[in-house]
Amino acid sequence: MLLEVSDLSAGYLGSSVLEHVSLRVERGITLVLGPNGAGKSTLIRSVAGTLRPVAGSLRLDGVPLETLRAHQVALQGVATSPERARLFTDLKVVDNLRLGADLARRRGEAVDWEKTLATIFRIFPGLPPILSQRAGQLSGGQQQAVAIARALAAQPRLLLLDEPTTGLHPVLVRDLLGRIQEIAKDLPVLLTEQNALQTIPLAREVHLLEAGRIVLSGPPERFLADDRVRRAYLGEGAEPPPLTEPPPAAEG
Amino acid sequence: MVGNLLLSSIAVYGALFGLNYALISLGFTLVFGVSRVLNLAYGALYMVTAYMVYLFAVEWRWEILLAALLAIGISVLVGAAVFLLFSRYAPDPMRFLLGTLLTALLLQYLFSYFFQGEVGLVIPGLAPTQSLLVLGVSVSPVFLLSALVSLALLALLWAWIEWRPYGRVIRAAAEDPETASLFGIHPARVYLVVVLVSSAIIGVAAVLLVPAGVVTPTMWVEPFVIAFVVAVVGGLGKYQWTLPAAFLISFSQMAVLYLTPYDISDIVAFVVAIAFIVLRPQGMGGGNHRGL
Repeated sequence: MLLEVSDLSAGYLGSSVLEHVSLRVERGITLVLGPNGAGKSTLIRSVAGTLRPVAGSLRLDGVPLETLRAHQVALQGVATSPERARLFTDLKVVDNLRLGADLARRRGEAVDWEKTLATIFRIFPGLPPILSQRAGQLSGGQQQAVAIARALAAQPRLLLLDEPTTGLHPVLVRDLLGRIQEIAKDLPVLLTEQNALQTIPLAREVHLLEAGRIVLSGPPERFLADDRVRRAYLGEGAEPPPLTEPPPAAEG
Repeated sequence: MVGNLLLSSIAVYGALFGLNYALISLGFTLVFGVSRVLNLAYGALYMVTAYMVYLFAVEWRWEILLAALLAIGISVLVGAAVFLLFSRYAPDPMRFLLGTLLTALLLQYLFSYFFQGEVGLVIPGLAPTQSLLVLGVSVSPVFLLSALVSLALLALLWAWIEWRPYGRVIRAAAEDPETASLFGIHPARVYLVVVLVSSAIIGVAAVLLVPAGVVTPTMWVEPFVIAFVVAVVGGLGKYQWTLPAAFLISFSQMAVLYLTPYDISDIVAFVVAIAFIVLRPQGMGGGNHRGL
């Protein structure tokens, strides 16, 4: 599976949010890192089909996605956990998951519901007791887990995760990222995050998005070694100043 | 004895009118709940069905059952055509509302032109004509049959939406169409399915109820007003509250009619609706949350 994003530009009401973005998603976690307003959600929405790109192309194993509507993109095997989870709050958790399985069926996949649930419960063992609760009653962490589980129930070829850790307690963040790492062993994941410290080490490839443009791309090691990334996104200060002023250089 | 008859009358007519109000209102509320547009041409489908029954059964002398089924089919087609026209070319809620209102008026004038103006026409019904006694109260079989059909349709619709897989799809598209589309659901197609169902329901209501009255070009106003008032009291879009809202209105009307010297049923319905607008604008169903 390969998603190829080439020279993608997108925005809202004539204003450009994403400009000339190119990246590839193959296996493991492809991380798009960036501050608020950088265009991370715009990128996810463009790939998922809920926002029509202004220019550029999106290819999923060579199939063009940029002209498809969201429901058609989903039928190509792209499942999304959108920003803030966006569960169907009137429905029970189990019905949210069934909507994912419904998508798999519509794509012609054979769905063994019990097996689907078993796979989901292996990754999210906390779900069985809350299956019959209304999704609107869940905590933030539970909602994110259900949103990702709902996407997994669709048996996707590509998983899009839009800032799944936003607003969660640090312990929950670590837990959820561990589960995403497990999912990514079998499934390519395009993950957007602000949380650089905990996500960079999990990624296979990292892209830094600022003001709608990718300003740095590379493997995690490159990011962890980059001074600017460390200062701006990993919370590290600049190198400490020397304790004593160096002696003035001798004239001449 | 007189007291018992009064109470029986309130109970029987309250229940019958309530069920018939629910039958008339159900489709209107459902369409709003799912697609968030107010279809003001809804009442016109009642008129379309009635005129088609008149054409097929009276003018062309077809069997009433065949005439009724074809008329309901035409109601469904007209309902779908109106919805597709305005959802495609005037999709924002205000333009949709104005467009469907103008369509209702256009249909009124078309039927007035083709069916000799305001002359009241009579259509045959599916129910027998001889009155029945229920709890000592004389009841028209027309209203009894439509009340029973209303109960059956309410139960079927509820079971479909709450229990069947497509009901899950409808509820998802109603609550969050964008997220629903991420799961392969085409919201516009779901809205159309709901419009087809609601157009069939108002068609059934017309086939069952119009034989108790007459067919005129302005007959669309009354079912539209009933649907609107019930929708306001139940909560716009909260289809589950259609029957409780219809009962609140019908029992209030019957109580005033039988316990006071005033025959002001229509006024009572509007007073109840206005009280809800002022005191509980979200209706009985409550909440401003989008969805069914």
